Amino acid sequence: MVTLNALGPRDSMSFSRLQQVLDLTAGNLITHLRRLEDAGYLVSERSENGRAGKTTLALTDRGRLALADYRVAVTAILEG
Amino acid sequence: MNDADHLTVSEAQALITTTEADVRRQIDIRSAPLFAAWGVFWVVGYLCVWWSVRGQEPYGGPAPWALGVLGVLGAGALVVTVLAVVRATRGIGGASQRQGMLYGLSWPVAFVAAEVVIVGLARGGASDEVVGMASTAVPALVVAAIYCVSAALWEEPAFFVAGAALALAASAGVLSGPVTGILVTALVGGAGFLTATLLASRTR
Repeated sequence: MVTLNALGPRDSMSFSRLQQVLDLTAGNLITHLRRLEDAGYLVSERSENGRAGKTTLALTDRGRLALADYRVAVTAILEG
Repeated sequence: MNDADHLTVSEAQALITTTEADVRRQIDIRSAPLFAAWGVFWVVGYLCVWWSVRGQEPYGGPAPWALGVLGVLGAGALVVTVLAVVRATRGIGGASQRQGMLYGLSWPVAFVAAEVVIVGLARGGASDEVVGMASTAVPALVVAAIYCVSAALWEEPAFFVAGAALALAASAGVLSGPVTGILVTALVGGAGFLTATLLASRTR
């Protein structure tokens, strides 16, 4: 979520680039992404591009808000 | 988020901070190497052009070898730029991609128009001196304007420094005459690129 949040609000990232940035295996990344998508924090879109399909991922507004809330909560706890 | 469940609060915050920094390092285009590459093109290329025209009376224009050096250095800087942009933006789509595409297109559009203006001056009967000064000043002004806009677009002062220096180089160069003007353009523009490189290195 932090990685996708670093993009602009109307930007997306391909699955392969996200995998490269996070240095995760495809299976591991898919597991994380599925949970986030089920929670409504991100959307994935698959486009057929010749023989190879391409999946792009983007945070939803709900996802950005959830991350922001999480950061505020973490900071509040640390600052007492 | 699942992994964060097993972290302490401070570890979670540290993870977010380091991940953000790591992501920025990978997706941001580092401008310092680009300023350095274009600085070499500007200083070395235009010094070669000046070397080939120094002492010309009347002004006859740069030697083919000097234009060749300028072309090779320009091509090299362009390759460095394209590689840096492609490496950073690969796999990123959406509004930023469209913004980047329009930004990239603005360069050839402006340079083709600049070239047409210079050809138009020559066809309109402008002397070799005037065409020579325009050939140095007009492209410099194009780059200056786009750099200044880039500074506003990405909030990166280094672009403004380089742009302002090139605007100064173009205007001071024209006022200095066709031969000295090229030397002035090389040195003032080069100083701008050097300052921009140092500034971009320190702010990244």
